[in-house]
This record gives sequence, structure tokens and C-alpha cells, in this order.
Amino acid sequence: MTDAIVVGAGHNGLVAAAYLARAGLDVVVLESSPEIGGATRSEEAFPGFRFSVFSYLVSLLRPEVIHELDLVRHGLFLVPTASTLNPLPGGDCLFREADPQRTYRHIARHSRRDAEALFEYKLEMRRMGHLMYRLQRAAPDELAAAIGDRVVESAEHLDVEVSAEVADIARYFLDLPPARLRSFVQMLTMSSADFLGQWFESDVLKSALSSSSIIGSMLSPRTPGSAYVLLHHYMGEVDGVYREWGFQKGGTGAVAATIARAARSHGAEIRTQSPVARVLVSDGRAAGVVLANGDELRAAVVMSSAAPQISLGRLLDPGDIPGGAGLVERAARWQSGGCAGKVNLAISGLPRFECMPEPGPHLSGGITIAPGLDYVDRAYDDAKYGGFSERPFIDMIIPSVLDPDMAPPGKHVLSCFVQYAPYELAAGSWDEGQREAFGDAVVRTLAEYAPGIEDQILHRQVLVPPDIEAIAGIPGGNIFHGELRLSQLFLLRPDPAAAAFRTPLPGYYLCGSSTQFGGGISGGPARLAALRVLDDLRTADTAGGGGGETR
Amino acid sequence: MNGRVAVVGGGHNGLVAAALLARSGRDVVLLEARPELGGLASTRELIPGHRVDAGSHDLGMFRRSVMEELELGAHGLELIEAPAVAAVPATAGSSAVVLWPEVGRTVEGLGGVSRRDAAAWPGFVFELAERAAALEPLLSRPLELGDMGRLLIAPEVLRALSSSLDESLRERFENPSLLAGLCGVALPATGLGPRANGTGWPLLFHCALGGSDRLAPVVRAQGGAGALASALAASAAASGAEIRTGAAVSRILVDSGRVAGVRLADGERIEAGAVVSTATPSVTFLDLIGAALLEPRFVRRLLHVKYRGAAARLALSLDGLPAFRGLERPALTGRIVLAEQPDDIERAADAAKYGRLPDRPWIEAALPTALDPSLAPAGRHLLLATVHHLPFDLEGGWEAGRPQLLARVADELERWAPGIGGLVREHALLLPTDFEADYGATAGGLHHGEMNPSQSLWLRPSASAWAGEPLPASGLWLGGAGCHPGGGLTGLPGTIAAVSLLRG
Repeated sequence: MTDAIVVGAGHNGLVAAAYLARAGLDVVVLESSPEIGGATRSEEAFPGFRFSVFSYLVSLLRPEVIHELDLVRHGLFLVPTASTLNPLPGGDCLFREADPQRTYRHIARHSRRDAEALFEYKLEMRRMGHLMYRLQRAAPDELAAAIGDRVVESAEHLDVEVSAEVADIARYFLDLPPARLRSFVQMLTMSSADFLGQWFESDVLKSALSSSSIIGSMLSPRTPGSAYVLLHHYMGEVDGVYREWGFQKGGTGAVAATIARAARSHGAEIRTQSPVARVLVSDGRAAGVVLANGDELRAAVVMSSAAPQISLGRLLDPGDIPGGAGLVERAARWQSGGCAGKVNLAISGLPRFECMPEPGPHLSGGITIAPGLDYVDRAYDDAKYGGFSERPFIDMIIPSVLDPDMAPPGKHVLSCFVQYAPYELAAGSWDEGQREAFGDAVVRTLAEYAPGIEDQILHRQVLVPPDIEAIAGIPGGNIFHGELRLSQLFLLRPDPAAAAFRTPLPGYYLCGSSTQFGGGISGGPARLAALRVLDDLRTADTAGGGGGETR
Repeated sequence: MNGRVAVVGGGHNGLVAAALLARSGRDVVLLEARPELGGLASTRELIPGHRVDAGSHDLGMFRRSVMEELELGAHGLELIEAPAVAAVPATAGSSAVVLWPEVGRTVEGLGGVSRRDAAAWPGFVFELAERAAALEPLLSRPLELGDMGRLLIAPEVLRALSSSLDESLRERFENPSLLAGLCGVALPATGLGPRANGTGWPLLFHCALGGSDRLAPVVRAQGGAGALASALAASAAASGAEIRTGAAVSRILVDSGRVAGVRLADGERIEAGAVVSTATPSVTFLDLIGAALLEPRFVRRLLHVKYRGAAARLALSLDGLPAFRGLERPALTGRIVLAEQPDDIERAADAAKYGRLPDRPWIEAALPTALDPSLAPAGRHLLLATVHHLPFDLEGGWEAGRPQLLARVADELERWAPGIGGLVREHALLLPTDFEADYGATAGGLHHGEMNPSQSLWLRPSASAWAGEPLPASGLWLGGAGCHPGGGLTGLPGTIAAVSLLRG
């Protein structure tokens, strides 16, 4: 019998396994697909051309995960992508570079006031991001311990009295400077366009900054709730370690490989092609898993990195756990519809953007097609009625500029993250024809800003939410395993009865993107979940009985 | 110190505040710029011989306890509860749906449309009422510290704050007309399409204040909404308050950080130790106090209050009751929601986002004469069509937009009530710009500030503070819809202002 089983070998599953193994536990990771990485994977889609299939940039990876798992020694190699170019119609652009003075000048061309405000804005966002991060990190111990039980209790009955602990937490927030508290609470509910409108006047800059507020969410910058997603992406900027987005040499698949190496170095075993059918329950505790082929694998602890529809749905028999029926029902209405597609292009040479036709530093950074709030909003409108965006929002990088090994000499790979592409189309389904039409819309849009690119394309890979679902095993294909919104955050992520990584089934834990801390290649949820498991095992040990079967 | 209180604005909130303060023995003067009282809940002769409600006319959310305390019945207020809550007429492609206050009656009607929806209805009403009851205490008094905890432990309220009405209704119901009807109850004057996150909030808000035992009942005042204003004024006067109409306040006087009174447009100065302003935050601070006395950061906050959700009101005098397809007369007494499906409302909101008139405007109709024939001359009926989700800054301007809007509204009404065009004798139209010019509704927003979660609860100004900071002048109190708990004919902001002022 092993000590612990981790379901899923995405980056979070691997991080959890690495932490448990590092603490001396005997760990097995079970992955259904033939490859590890989940949504964090690279692939040689066309001979000589390597792509990060889904996730394409790294910014949220927690510094403590990097240090504690010694990921640099195991191969982590992040190249900063220091600039962002927003091409505009008519050959204009907004270019934000690493050099603040140059960025100031670029923005001042559009609005001097905005150029001034940007620095203050970044400081404030960093403060808020830090607050958010603190809240996320502190949550399991400070928040959940205090009110977790009450949340569960009150899910059905709302007229509960406010406990002293809850009041204490409220007081912690109220002790913040009022303006900051207000901004923070506001950010949980308002639209990013409104939020950015409090800081800036130029549509161009608001649109550029709002990109982070829609990534991975079926939201437009004008949809209430998008401001939180913006804040979520600023958590990657805290602690001053990796302030910028980074590109992993070899693509994001190499991040997964790195973490897997770290896990194996501590003795963890990773089995691919081992789909888990359900969690085994014995004496009211998780006792291991049953594989799809019927094999049983016993363990004292089971952790799942899968989305709630799987972790709290498919893998559990509601009869096995207290409140199981409610848990399964709530998991079924978890919002995790995908909204994004990925179009990976193999190209014969560097694209020539009308605003900056010659090769230059702008090609080694992010390039975003989001020329105005109306533009992005219209792209969203197409999708909300069940179509893909005719003129989509595109966030792209050219990984081969940063890492020449990604493409044959002189040739390049262009990775386009595209919104919006709904999981289900109102008219028809995502067949070959629709996929191609979507790919065409992307190329047509690119050609508006980089004329001639259509003739440079050698190969094209079009991936839509059902592909993300099929390949990465995320129901609905949402890259965050579930939308980042107030009803799916903090202690409600993924469920009030399964907050803080524990579930109502003793010995069964959650560690994926759908737990508090949320999505992105952060490793944050898995680290906290693993620490939670180790803590619980220690407590059980010192208490004598209980955890006796662990060893 | 001058013990007098000046109340700026004779809308229902100002009148409630004045009446409550006078009743507690305070020396009160209320100042209203217009000739009639009631503000956005006033009744005007917009069409000769007709009593037309200019703005809101549904008293379903008005506090019963305030009505009793102020003895509004004795002062002439008569309430009529509509037999129907909301109705969606049939169209060529959709069926009619009627929501009644009685659960059983609604279920019976729904049975003919969708068995599944009929079965789901009682549970929906029950759960909504339960959640609304949990929220109600937070809306009916100044917010307290512990309330934040109360929200933290109410996952369903958090869900309402962050999910979209469309998705939460679709978890239970399938019939498009039913879905549209519920959206039609929740979304008027919000400017938000049902697919926007946070739209669960207005429905919950409505139910919390509409009396939690039933789903948002429609209650009207005999003689029109202005009758509420008249009763409130009579009650206030009986307690000694001085009520002045035609008295436009042009300045709230501040001396060394303290309120000293107000100055009227004609130059008259009225001394007062306290001022309750029921104007919008923008009008109160930028126009009446003046940016010069405010900190830049406070001004910046003011400039970012969102007033979206403008509406137009078209009043039609008809030769008879129009025939809305599939609706019997009792069904015509409540809200009449003209949308076949939630996306009709969504598309109207889309157009407004880009500053355009929707191809098919979203109309909430009412036939007040179906309940109270005294509002129109014998043989005539009044139809009030509120066109929601309009842009305030219409591309091309409202001068050019007016005939377009009228034409599109006429087409839309004809689609829902064939032959209605032939019944129309006279009409009157109030545009978003009229609501701003006549009633001081900044940017035509009927709620004095968009009613979405990011401008609700702690994020809306309170009677005495905003964003945790005291108001910039002592002796100043806010009592309009722009402060907690917000818009709608509730009387609550006025009540909370009076209670806060009396408490000191």
C-alpha cells in the first residue's frame, strides 16, 4: 500500500506529489492520458515545430514552489517576455516596454494623463495583488479554520447568527484603509472597463490593460466581475520575483517535465494511461482508488487535481459521504464553460506588423489584438449568443524568437490565444468546417495588422474548448477549471463543503486549479493542499490512533 | 446651533425623511424645485385629463411599517394590489405566461406551457424568499460591521452577487417566456442584460423588499403614484413640517466644514443646522456643494459613479384596452413584459453599450387604468410603456433619436398587441434627457446610480459616509436613492437618513 495517490499529472498534481514525496511519503500519480502535463504541455505538432499546446506563458508560478522544489536545478528556465505590443488599426500602436521611460513616452502619445497614472495604477495593483495573495495564502489556516464549519452549516439555512470569528475577519478587512478596502471589494464585483475607467481616459490603454481581465473567462471588459480576473493576474507580480511574464524554454510542457523530475527525485512514481474510475471508500474514509480497468490501488490519502465535476462528481459515490447529494448537485452547476481557442501557426518567417514592420524587440514580447473596448466587447457579443468571434481578441507570442529550438532555422512558431470560442456553438457543432472557419477568422484578423501573414503560414493547428476538454481532461475546457468569480472563489472554490482543500470525505483532498488560489501555472493550490495533508497526517500521528494506517 | 433641518428634494425619499423628522419633533423645511411633489414617483397631467405617472408607480417595495408610522392611510393613501405580478403575452412564436402572487395559480398556468417549469416553480419561490429574507435586514437599516460576516456565510447571496440571472434561471426553467418574464421583473432600469454577471442581485433585492412571502407583488396607489407623495406631504405637514414647492435649491451652504443652510435659485437663504439631500451624489456634491470644497480624490470618486440604465416613458391614451395576445384582463394588471426570451433584453443592452437605439426596444408596459379607471377620462385607457436599456448619450443625439424611438416602440407594441395603433388617441413621451432635466436624474438613470453589486451595500454611499469616510461637511445627510440601499420606490434611503440624523 502506498501512502498517497494523486489523481492527475497536470502541473498541480505534480507539485502536490513532489511536496508529499519530499516529505518522505510513498506517492503514486495516476494520469489518464499517455502524457503528463494536462493543460501544461508542449508538442511537436508539425515536424520541426514545437508548440506549447494550451498554456503559453508563465507568470504566476509561486516563487516558494520554485525554491522549495528546487525547480531551477531540475530544468526551469524562464525567459522574460518584457514588452507588450498592441497594434492598432491604421498602422498605429501602443507599445509597453520594460524601460518605464520609453513606455511613458509611448503612452503619452495617446494620453499624457494616462502615462502619469500608469505608475500609480501599477503600485496600487501590486498592493491589491499582495492583499489578494495574502488572503489566498492565509485562507486555509486563518479563514477556513475560523468559519469553514459555519459555511457548511449555513449553506442551507441562511439566517445564522454572525459568529465572533466572522466578525473578526470582517474587522481585519475593515482595518484596511477605507479607500483600499473599497477598491478591493469593488474589484470582486465590477467590470474591468469601469475599474480602469477610474484610472485612465484613453480607450487604447484601457483596452490594452483589460486583456488580463478576460483571459480564460467568458467575460467582456464591460461585464461585471471582470475586474477580479484582472486582479488575479496581478498576483503574479507580487514579491518582486517574477514581475514579468516568462516563457519556458521548450514550451510550457517543459515546466511540467521539470516538476515531474523534482517529484521523481524524491521518489514519486508517475503512471500515465491509468485513468481513475472512482475513489475507494472504507470505514467512512478514502482508502485508495479504483482504476478504470478495475484494479484497486490502496492508499491512506487521495488527492485529486481534477475539476469539481470529476473530483466531487464522477469519482465519488454520493452515498459514501455526508451531504454527498448536495455536493454532487453543486458540482454539476459549477461554471466552467470554455471561452478560448488556441491557434498555433508554423510560419516561414517573422510577421511584419504594419505598425512596426522590421524585426525588433517587440517580437520577443506579447502581442495583443485588442484595439479598443468596443472591439473586444463585440467579440464577446458574438460568443455570448453562441458563435465564435468574427473578429477575435488575440494574445500571441512568437516562442521561436525566445527559444530558437522551437522551430527549424529561419522559421517560426506563432502561438495565438484566441477569444472568444464558446464550448458549444449555437448553430452546429465544432466540426472540421467550424474549426477551419474559426482558424480563418484568426488569420484574417492577424492579416489586418500584419499584412501578408496569410502567405507565410506553413501549418495551422486549431484547438477549441472541446479539444481542451478532451486532451487536458477539463470539463467544459475552461483553462482555470472554473470561472474566477465571487461565487467560485475563496471558501466557495470549489464548494463550501470542500473549502481549504479538504472534502467531507476524510483522507480525500483537492489540489487543482478549481481550489482556492485558482488557475494559472502557479502551483499554489497544490503546494497549500500538500502542506494541509502533511499537517493533517502529523496531527493524526500525534493524536495516536486515527492516522495509524498511514504507515 | 440652528436646530432646523432642510430637506432638499420632494421625491418620496425626501418626503419620508421630512415626515419622520417632523414627527420626532424636528423643525423641518422641505424644498422641491418642481410645482408638484413626488419626483420620479409623481403623477402629472402629461396628457390633458389623464393622470400619468412620470416614473415609478409600483409601491410593492415601499415599507409597510413606514406607511403605518406616518399614518398614510389616514392621510388619504389607498393601496390597490394587482391580481397579477407579471405577464408575458404570446407572439407568433412564443406562448403567454402569467405570474400570479399565488403559487398554485401560477403553477396551474405554467402547466400548459412546461410541465418541468410548473414543477420547479414552488421550490423557486420558496428558495428565493428564503434568500431574500436573509438579505432583507441588510437593506433596511444602516449597514453594520457584522453584516459583512453575514454575507460571507451566505453562499447563495454571493452567488446572486456574481452570477448572471440568465444562467441561474436556466438551472431550473426552460420556457423562454417564463425566463423573459422573470428577467423583466428584475432588470428594469439596470441597463444590464440578463447574461451579465451580477444580475441575480436585482431580483433578490426586489424580493427582499417586496415582502418575502410573495414574489415581487405589484401594488399601486389609488389616483397614481402621486397619491403617495400627497399622503406623505399631508403627514409631514400634520407634524409641523413646512413643504415648499417651486423652491429650487441652488446651493448647500457650508461654513467651516459645517452645513449652515441652503440658498434657493431666487437668492433666498434658508438657515439650517442640518441638510438632508435626496439629490443624486453628483448633484449633491458637484452642483450643490461645489467641487471647490471637496478633496480631489472625493471628486474623482464622484465622477466615477455609474448612472447607466436610462429609460424613456411613453404614455398612450387609448380608446379601449389593447388586446395583448394570450392575456385575459386580470393578467393585464401587473407588469407586462414584452420580451420573448432573455436575449431580447440582452440585445437591447448590447445596443445601449455602443450608444445606439436597439432595433427592437425592450418595453415594460403597464395598464394602470385596468386597476384604477379614475386615471383617464371615461372610455379611455392609459398605457405606460417604459423603454428600458437606452443609452443616455445616444449616437446622433436624442433630437434625431426621438422619432426613431417612437417608430420602433410603435412597431414593437403592434407586434405584441395587434391593432393597438388604431386605439391610440394621444401620447406623451419622456426621454432620458427629460428625466435628467426635470427630475435631476443624472444621466437619466432612474436609480440615482446603477443598481449593480459594485454600487451596492458598502459600495454605495450611506446616509453619513462614503467608502468608510465621513461626508465632507458635518450636518449633511444623504437620503436619496443614490445611497444605501438604493433605488426603487422603497422609502428606505429617506428612512435611514432620518433615523441616522436623529441618532446623531
